[in-house]
Amino acid sequence: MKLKRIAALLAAALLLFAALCVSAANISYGSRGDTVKKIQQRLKQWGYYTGSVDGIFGSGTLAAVKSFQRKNGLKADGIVGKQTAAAMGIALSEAPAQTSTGDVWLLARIIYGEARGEPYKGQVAIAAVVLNRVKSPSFPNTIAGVIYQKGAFDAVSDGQINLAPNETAVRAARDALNGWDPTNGCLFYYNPATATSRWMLSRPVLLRIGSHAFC
Amino acid sequence: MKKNVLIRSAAFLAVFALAAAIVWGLREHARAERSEALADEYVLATVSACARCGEELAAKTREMSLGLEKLRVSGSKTRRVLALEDIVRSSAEAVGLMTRLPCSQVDIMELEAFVTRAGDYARTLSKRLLAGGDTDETDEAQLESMLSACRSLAELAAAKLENGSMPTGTEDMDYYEPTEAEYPEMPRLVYDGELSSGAEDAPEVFLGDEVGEGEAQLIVEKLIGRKFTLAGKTSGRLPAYVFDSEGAEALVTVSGGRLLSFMAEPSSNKEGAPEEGEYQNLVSAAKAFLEKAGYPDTEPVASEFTGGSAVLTFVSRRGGILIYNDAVKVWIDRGTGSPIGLDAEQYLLHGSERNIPGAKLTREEALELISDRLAVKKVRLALLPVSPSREALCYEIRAALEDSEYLVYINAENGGEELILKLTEDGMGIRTE
Repeated sequence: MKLKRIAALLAAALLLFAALCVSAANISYGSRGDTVKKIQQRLKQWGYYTGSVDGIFGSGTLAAVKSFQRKNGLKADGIVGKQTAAAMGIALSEAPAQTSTGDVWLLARIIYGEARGEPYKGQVAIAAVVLNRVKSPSFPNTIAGVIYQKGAFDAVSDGQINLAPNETAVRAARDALNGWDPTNGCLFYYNPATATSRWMLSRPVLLRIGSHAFC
Repeated sequence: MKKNVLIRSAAFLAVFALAAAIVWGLREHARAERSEALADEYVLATVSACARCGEELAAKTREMSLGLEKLRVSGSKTRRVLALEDIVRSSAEAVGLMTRLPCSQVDIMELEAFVTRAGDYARTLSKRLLAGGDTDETDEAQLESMLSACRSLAELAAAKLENGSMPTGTEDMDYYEPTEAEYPEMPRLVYDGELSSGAEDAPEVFLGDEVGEGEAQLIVEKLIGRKFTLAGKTSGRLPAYVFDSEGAEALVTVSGGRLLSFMAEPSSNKEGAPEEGEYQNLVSAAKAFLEKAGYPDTEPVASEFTGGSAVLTFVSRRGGILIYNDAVKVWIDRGTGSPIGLDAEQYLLHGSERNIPGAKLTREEALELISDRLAVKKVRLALLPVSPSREALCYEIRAALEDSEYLVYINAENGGEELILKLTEDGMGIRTE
């Protein structure tokens, strides 16, 4: 009888240990570890989180996750599940790796990373600038080459290129690939409120769409 | 008895918890060690990759110089073509390497433009020699200046290798930042190619009398049937007024007052290729809009169906000949069947009157020139752009081999095989590659 009880307790404890050892699929309030650190780093880069990157999912992280979810059209439950993690470009233990589906997808990712929240025309314009660069001898001759060129796009430097794009960004990418160039041939753009490059600021601005100046 | 079991269970759990903590601690320690080793490995791999880039870039600029030197002393056309093709290959590889250097795009823009143009120019000359032509004095002078610039670049790259100032990829280094002392002046390369330095100087296109903002606004409102407000003006080869409306934008050229582009939101999310009946309706709606906007006599040559709209590409057709340079795209809303977009830039840049010579080859003679492995499906005449300033009258032969279809273009004047395109169905339409 005694042995049976001990065996039952042992089995329960082993199950508990196994459950603790296997990383939980969702990250939520109270979670700790490297994945929480990654989440905090991303949220801090994008201005949602101002606390320390300590790997502890506390109230500050919870508020930041909810804010991120609201801004990205996700259910604002404060839990980092597969969808939220994918939008952050973070792989949870069971999350599938991001897969590329060619130029449209890559263009949509740069649009979403650089210009989500901008007017639709402004989103197409970002992709048009990428495509204008592909056609220019002064830039790499592939879409991937242009997008990943060092220092070319903030979304690559801060990791927002890895966010899953929404349908609008995908449509904007298609419109640009089909020939719509709202910039009429521009090779550069910047946000006048945040740009610091003297070289960029010295270029004549040809048009403004939303918060971007195109030149 | 009960108390004993509880004490024993508690003790067992305490021992188990301690064991679990030790296992967890060991796992975390091992993970930290692995992360550190991995970080070292990444740094080493990045530095090695950048060093390899620098070494190979130095080799490629040297190869370009060598190719140009061989070109100078080559007596036969075959040898000159081979030397030019070597330059093309080295240029392409050098450009690929430059994109991997940890340098700001602004720092290497001029260098990249020169290396790209050098390859493009070499390809243009190679094609000219293969077609029976030759280089002239202007080419010889440009090749000399190319050689001089390539030599300087090769020396600069070699010097950087020698003094160890290689980019590491782990910190910002001004590997190719132009400084007046060491950066060679890049020559202008003007030739008949899209990437030519001369293309940057292309003049504005004249389409007719200049129209004012008010007149342009009347034109766009009449064509699209909604109210617009002026939002600005763009420059370039086709300066245009920009007009905004709720959820729509349109550009009207200053010269001639032509609708250059127009884009509005689709009302549906319909995806996938349409049935024949719907396709014909879409084409009819697009053609009617094109005629109203001043783009008559066109024929659809490509289509894509996605995001609630159909994107139909039309080219002009004159005397039974398709003119591919005169291409215009129309977006049709698949929910309403109405036009919601237009892009006529290519048409307006090229669409001037032409004197098209008659075909010297017959249809049958052209068909004899294609591979006998191909099963012919359709033949028609087309004016194909073969360089920015040259078009060639060709037989466009649609043919199949196994499960694939191709477009083969046979020059109707000299029988040359100008171009082969593969047709690929991707679920949203047929595209060429």
